[in-house]
Amino acid sequence: MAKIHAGDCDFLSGGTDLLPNYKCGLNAHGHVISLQHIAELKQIGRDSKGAFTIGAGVTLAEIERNTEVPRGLADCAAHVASPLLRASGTLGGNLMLDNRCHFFNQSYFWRRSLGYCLKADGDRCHVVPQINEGGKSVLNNKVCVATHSSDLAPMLIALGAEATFVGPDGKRTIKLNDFYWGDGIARFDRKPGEILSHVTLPPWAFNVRSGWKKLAPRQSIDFSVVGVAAVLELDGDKVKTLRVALGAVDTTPVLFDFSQQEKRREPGHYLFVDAYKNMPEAVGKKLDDALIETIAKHVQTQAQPKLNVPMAPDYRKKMCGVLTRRLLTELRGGGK
Amino acid sequence: MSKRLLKFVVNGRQAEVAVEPHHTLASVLRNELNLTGTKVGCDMGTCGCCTVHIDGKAKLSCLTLALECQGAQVRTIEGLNEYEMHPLQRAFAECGGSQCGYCTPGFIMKSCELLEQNPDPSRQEIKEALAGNLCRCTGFMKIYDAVEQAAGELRKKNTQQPAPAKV
Repeated sequence: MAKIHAGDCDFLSGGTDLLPNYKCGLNAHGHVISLQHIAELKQIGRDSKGAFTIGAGVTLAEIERNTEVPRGLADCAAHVASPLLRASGTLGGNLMLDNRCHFFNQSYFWRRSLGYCLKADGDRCHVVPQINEGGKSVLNNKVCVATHSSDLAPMLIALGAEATFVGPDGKRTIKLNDFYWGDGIARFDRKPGEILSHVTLPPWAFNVRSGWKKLAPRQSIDFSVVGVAAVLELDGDKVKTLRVALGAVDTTPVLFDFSQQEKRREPGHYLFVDAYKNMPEAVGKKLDDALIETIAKHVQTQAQPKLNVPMAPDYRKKMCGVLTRRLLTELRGGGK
Repeated sequence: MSKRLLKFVVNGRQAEVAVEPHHTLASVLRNELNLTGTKVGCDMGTCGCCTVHIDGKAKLSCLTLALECQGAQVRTIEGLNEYEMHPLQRAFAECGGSQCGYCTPGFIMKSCELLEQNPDPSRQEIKEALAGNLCRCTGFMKIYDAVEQAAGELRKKNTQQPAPAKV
């Protein structure tokens, strides 16, 4: 079916993001294919080879209650939206959450009054109205800067997860970090008719400390306006592995991999962030307050929030540093 | 688009309705089955007014397509108790947990799920369970009081007589 309607269909799982968008008339497609009754997508646990997999149809409430997943991931799932939304919302839906923007997530009438926007029906971006092209400032009708607000994506990227997709052309597995593209409209590397089958966690994800901090206007219901995920492994008191991922500050989750400097595969890129520019050395050093401060400062300097979700960008930028510092201090003390 | 036949169980009774594929469960319950106890507030999944139980789990009926419930067991506020008020309903009335009343069905259905899973919840657990329901009248305190009172009442009732089989 997906092959027949490729290009004009959406997949429905929990429906907690898709249906509100459809109700606002945002990029609605002619066909909706439900994945709700596919048992294979709802499995969580170790497969026959011993790898820990989480099916795309597993609800956030199930991840939250699962005792085997890394603590950071369970904590992260427990802070998404509200209990009612977590009962329906699924992992796959959260990873493929539509990017959000003040000028996009509005009713049809609201958007019409402003002449629509680049991401839906319009021909210009209202957040970044002009871009630099060949030294000249021109109308931005190319780049959408809508924010990627998923909570689980940065956490799973920090944990080094891999995503497996199945589609009309067979099965493929890629790093979750490579899945995202730096564009608010194209968003990710998903071929027409393809669905996410499951996410696999690497064995080392169970030997590290992981944690999650989120900033949102309200403690429940709201999308995060800054999300910080961190994975830390200590050798004595020295850093062995350190990966920090930011959510909701760019069009994709942003990974700061202090140990391996993992880069996103081409053509995937970040729009505004250069995570490895002037990155401080952390591996092999003692994780004292000064080092945590340096890391937090680097993350804060690189984060480039835009004025398209609640709360001011400079406040959110500052909170990236504050939350990173709090989280690393907590993880150093053994985490929760 | 042509209508499809939806067969499911609503409040213990078999129901067969012809529904449009794009209609939500909330609209089918209210408009086709006249079960208007389920309210629709924001229609976006934020307020929790439209909460119903689908196969024993509290879910938002405004974000569930009706056809997704093919063969499911659905329970609405009307199906809580047939002949008398459910202890939760009585407690909400006695404690003043309901003022304009629009959010109340959602609160009661979500608290009902909570008390089925956890008969003796702490104040913090009640707060966390009801974090997805919004009330603009009461300020929530009276709602938490009501859930605590109902929990006590239900525990007392369950110790006096063997617990009835869950539907």
